[in-house]
Amino acid sequence: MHSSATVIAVFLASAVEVVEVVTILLALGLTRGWRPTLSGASAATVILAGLTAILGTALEGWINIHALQIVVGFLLLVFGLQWLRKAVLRASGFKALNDEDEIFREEVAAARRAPLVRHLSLDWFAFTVAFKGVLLEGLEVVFIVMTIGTANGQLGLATGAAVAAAVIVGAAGIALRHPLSRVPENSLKFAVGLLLTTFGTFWAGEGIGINWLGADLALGWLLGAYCLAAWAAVRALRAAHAQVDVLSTAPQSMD
Amino acid sequence: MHLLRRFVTFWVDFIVGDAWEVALGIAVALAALWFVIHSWGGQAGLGFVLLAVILGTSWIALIRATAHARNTSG
Repeated sequence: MHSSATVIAVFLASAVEVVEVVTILLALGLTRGWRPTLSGASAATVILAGLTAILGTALEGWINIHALQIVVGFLLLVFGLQWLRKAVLRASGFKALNDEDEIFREEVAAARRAPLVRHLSLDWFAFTVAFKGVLLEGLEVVFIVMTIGTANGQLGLATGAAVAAAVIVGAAGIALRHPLSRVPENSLKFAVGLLLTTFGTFWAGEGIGINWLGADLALGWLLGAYCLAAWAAVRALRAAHAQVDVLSTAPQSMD
Repeated sequence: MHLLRRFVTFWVDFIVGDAWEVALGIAVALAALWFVIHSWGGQAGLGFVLLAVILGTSWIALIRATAHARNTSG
């Protein structure tokens, strides 16, 4: 159960981030050229790989498993809840959904406006934007790989799932030469948020000494409880949002 | 010092986001439960306490996030 859940959580999280990266790289590559874009993306990838290797070795060498579970569980829980909260707000209408086509158009417009400045014989704008985009989105993937991989003792498996997602989604973006706007980003973020929150709760609890009801099976009922709570929250907030819409479109009183 | 502050701010924003009450609530709950378990022994029911704190603080954070939209329409 742990292995398949690890692969699913990391694969989905990485896929969502790579969809966002593909939008940025396509916009830059098609307007400013592929050489500086791919150079920036490669430089960021090297840094992310180095970070994964260094942090992975350091965390795996951490002797006290309970302390590791508390720290990693807490971080994963808070991080997962952030994803889940945003997904609930998007699903209920309180936050705008990510529109990759719109982001693509904005990135293309910004890339066309920016003046050409060469540095180290590269278009510096394309290099730095690609570098920053891959680094920031990739940092979220590294964080998820590190936390899930080390707490579960499956760092290799988690890294493999992230790389597989990057290759599959990246290849789809290159083949289509268009932002992957049909990918249901918010549904994926919802699923990832639920999985990260479930793992985080389980490990943080185990770290402080909680004897979970059903031992490892607690992962199942915790996930069920979070699904139910998220569904109830979306329903309640959708109703609240509809009320906000009605109030904002109602005719103003004349007196 | 300025660089260190930016570094810390980046990571807090990256992990916690804008709902500090969730992180604080969970941290306090974990510390309190750790104290209870190591003083009086662990019980399966304590898992439900942790779950309740997580759901409660998350609900507060959601209400806070939606409050602005409600206020501006009223």
